[in-house]
Amino acid sequence: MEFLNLLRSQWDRAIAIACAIGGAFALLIGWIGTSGTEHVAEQIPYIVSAGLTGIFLLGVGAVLWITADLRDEWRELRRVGTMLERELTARDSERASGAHVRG
Amino acid sequence: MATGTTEMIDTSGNGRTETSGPSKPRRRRRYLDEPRPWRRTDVNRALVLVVIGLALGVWGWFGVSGEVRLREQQGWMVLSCFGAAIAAVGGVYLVTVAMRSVRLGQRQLMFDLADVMGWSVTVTKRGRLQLHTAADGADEVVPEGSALPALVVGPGMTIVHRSECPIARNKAVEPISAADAAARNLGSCRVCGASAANGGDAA
Repeated sequence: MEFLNLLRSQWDRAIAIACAIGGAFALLIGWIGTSGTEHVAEQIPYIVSAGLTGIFLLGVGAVLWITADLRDEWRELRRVGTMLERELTARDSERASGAHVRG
Repeated sequence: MATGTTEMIDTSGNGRTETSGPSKPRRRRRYLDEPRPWRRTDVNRALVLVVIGLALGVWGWFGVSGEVRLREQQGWMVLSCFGAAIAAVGGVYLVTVAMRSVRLGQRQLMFDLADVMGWSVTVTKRGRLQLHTAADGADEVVPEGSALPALVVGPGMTIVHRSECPIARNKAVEPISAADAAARNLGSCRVCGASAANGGDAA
């Protein structure tokens, strides 16, 4: 249950890991296919299908992982920025009410 | 949300409010308004590139699998590789946009922090920000008027930037007043939000 909650909260990293594993698997299949034949014309379909698919999946995994990190960073910026904004607003209010009393 | 004499103004028309009070008006901070470092349009652009790349890749894959001779396969392979490159550009675009937003947000946060703590911020020649606490300030002689200029522009630039804008970093920029920037008809920066018309804040 906790694992499912973790997957739900970190869905982007979970998909990134799945893509990375899938990409590695596709590259492995391409490697096995190309190594099984000597004719270049028979190897090219393996390179295009399994090879490029593997690279594409690895790329998707990398982008998802990096965007997950950037989203965490943004969340932290929002948290700290909101605290600072509250502090600045509170100080403005204090200054204003102090000026009002003096006036 | 805000009390006292702070005024709530709904300027966006979609329920978002900005506060302005007796102190200087707050600059807009994207990280306070938006939940993600990228916009919907950025994601759509990246997805369009990925889909186009995928389509070309799959087309090339079908083409390659239908040919027996190497000479006929090569063209299709190049098409597939081209599709993979376009898909990669889509991914890189999204990551770049997000990284720039986060980076700008971090710089803006540093200025806000200095505001709250009463510290000062200087920009090194390499464009890095340095925080100086009150204790640091006591040891240094800080010339008057050395506060970070709001707007800067470099030779040949047609757009005005804030001094903390990542585009203006590592460039030989000089401070410029909003009036001069407006007189020179300098455009607004969409990265840092600087504008000559509004004296530093793009509408």
